[in-house]
Amino acid sequence: MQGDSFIPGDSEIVRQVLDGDVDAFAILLARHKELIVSIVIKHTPARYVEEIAHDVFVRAYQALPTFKGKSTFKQWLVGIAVKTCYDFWRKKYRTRDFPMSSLSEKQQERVELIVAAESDRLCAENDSRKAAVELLDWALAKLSAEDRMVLEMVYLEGLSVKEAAGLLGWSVAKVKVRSFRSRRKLRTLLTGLIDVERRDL
Amino acid sequence: MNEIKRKVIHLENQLISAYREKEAMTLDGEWESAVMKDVRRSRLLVAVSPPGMGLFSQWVWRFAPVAGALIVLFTFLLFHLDVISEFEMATLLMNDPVEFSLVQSFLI
Repeated sequence: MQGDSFIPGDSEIVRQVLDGDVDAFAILLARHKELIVSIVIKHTPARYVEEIAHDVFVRAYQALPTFKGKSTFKQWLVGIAVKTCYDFWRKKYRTRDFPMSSLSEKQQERVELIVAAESDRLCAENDSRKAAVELLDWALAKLSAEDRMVLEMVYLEGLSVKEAAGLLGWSVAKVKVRSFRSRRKLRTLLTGLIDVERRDL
Repeated sequence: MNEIKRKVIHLENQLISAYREKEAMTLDGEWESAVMKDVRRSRLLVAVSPPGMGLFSQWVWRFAPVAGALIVLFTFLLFHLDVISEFEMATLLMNDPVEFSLVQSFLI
């Protein structure tokens, strides 16, 4: 019974959905939800992940007629996920609808804790990991939505400039310039923190 | 100064490590149902534009350069040919064209 074991590819399912079988979209959802969540969780705060991932799939469904199969469905969907995250930050920055965190005294102590760690890899202890995540959130909140996305993709995630440009729908030159500037901004912020720590000693 | 630079680089590496080790998250079946519910609701947005529309827009754009060329041509002609102004028209119709307007010519 070879027909029973036939697993349709993404393009085949897309065709079915476009032909009116909306329920077939559930297969794409189940197949790619983990990938999308892993992308969204990296770019947005954990409490918004469900909502944004939800938005990614609804947007993807609405945009299905524009999927021409030039890239794989997975790549196309990842592009939508990245753009949705970017839109999330643009909206948040525009409405100032998130706390512009400032480092508390306790967190400042945590900077010392992170700097004091011997190895470049984070210590296994939850404390220093949490401190590093908080510090990262603080630093990223100081950047614009564009700088934030580029910094995360190129510098933190390690994507190539070309890959990031493709996902964001920007030119390679724009990504290059943005990533250089955002990295310089991050370095300035961190230098400021280290300076404060040194003066306090 | 080198000490600060070293510390900054170290801190950067720690942040990269923290970013890459962000905890994974799983979404349950309830979430999937909610997404599918919204997907079914937005069914109409999937509708492909009517078959004639694609062809129409394709032809509209095909004729755009021709339309542009015609606009340029007519503009050129307008400036180089004699256009009968309101005043000149009045002189044809009456002896004293001063104070004459096109509206008046219809009222007479």
